[in-house]
Amino acid sequence: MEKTGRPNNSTRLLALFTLIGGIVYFYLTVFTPHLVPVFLRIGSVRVPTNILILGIDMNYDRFTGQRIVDMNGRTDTIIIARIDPVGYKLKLLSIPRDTVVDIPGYGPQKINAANVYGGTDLVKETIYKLTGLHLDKHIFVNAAAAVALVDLLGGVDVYVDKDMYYTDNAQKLYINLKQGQQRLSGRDAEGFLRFRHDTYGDLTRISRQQRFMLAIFKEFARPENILKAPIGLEIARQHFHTNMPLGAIIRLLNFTRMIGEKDIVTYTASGEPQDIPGVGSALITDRKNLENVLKEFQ
Amino acid sequence: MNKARLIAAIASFLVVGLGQIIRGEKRKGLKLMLAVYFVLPSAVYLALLISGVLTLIVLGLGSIAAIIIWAYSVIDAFTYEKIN
Repeated sequence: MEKTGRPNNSTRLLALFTLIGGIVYFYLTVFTPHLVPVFLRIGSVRVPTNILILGIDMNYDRFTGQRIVDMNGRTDTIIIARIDPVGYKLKLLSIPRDTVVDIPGYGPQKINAANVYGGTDLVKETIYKLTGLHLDKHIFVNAAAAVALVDLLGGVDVYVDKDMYYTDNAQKLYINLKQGQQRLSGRDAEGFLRFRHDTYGDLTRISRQQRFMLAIFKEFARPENILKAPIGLEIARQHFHTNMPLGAIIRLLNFTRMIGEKDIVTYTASGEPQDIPGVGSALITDRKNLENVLKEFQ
Repeated sequence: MNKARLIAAIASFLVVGLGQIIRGEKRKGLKLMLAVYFVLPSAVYLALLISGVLTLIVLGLGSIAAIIIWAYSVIDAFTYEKIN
């Protein structure tokens, strides 16, 4: 060290490297978060977590035409999300809404009714009986949230697998989409998600929902959308109902920003369609398939 | 002369404070760099350890501050006059 008190060369070099490292890290985190090495990803989820995602279909009042906002309806979308912060993977397991399960206290029923009978606690208990997965965190989403999110992101790129045309005035559902890769607006996205006139019924809808979620995650990771994050959180606050604290949601959003497309794996608890007296057209879960899926899922 | 201004401005556009360093104001450039790349991100991260609401506030104000500092850095690098 010189007499003047100025740092020597090695100190300067160290400071320079720290500075450059910090700047590079900043730019990587903002623009290409999935290129940041896993151990350097901060502000993200740290322990493996299962989250139950429930989608409620929208209902309209028959007389006033106003949207009825409640969380007591049937859950037409049931997805268990597995956050794996070690391997940095996001696994999504969809459970078809027509799956016949033994709802504790109510006997064999379609799984989408569990929420009507006993709320999220009963849904969680039912899923535990079906899969053996313990779930404590949940997020309720409705179609309005999807519309608002897509509009915020300025559209979302998805492949529409066939021409969709459907009008239902009672449900305020107007779907008119052409087959092909395209950018959907919020309204179109709602139609895309709710359309269910398919040969394979619900399973086709599930694959659409899964593709839609991938597309949303991809859109979300774009750097220019970071600035929209506060508005996104406001939408989430309005339309999502969750028992997770805000800090946990921010970490979760940051996690989804940091995963690449190839790190998202989707599964479906598929089964055989069958007519069951007293239940209607339902789905009998393929146990063997489910066991294999669960092995990979954990 | 104008070319030097332009290079400094572009440098500051890419890395906040770099233009100042190129034009000879090392201390000022370093201060801008530290503010944008170290102090603000650290504040957001620390806020996340405390509470979610605080994180949103810090993230919002921090982003605005970062953009202002960034703009200042570019304009300053372009207009700075060397005093010989």
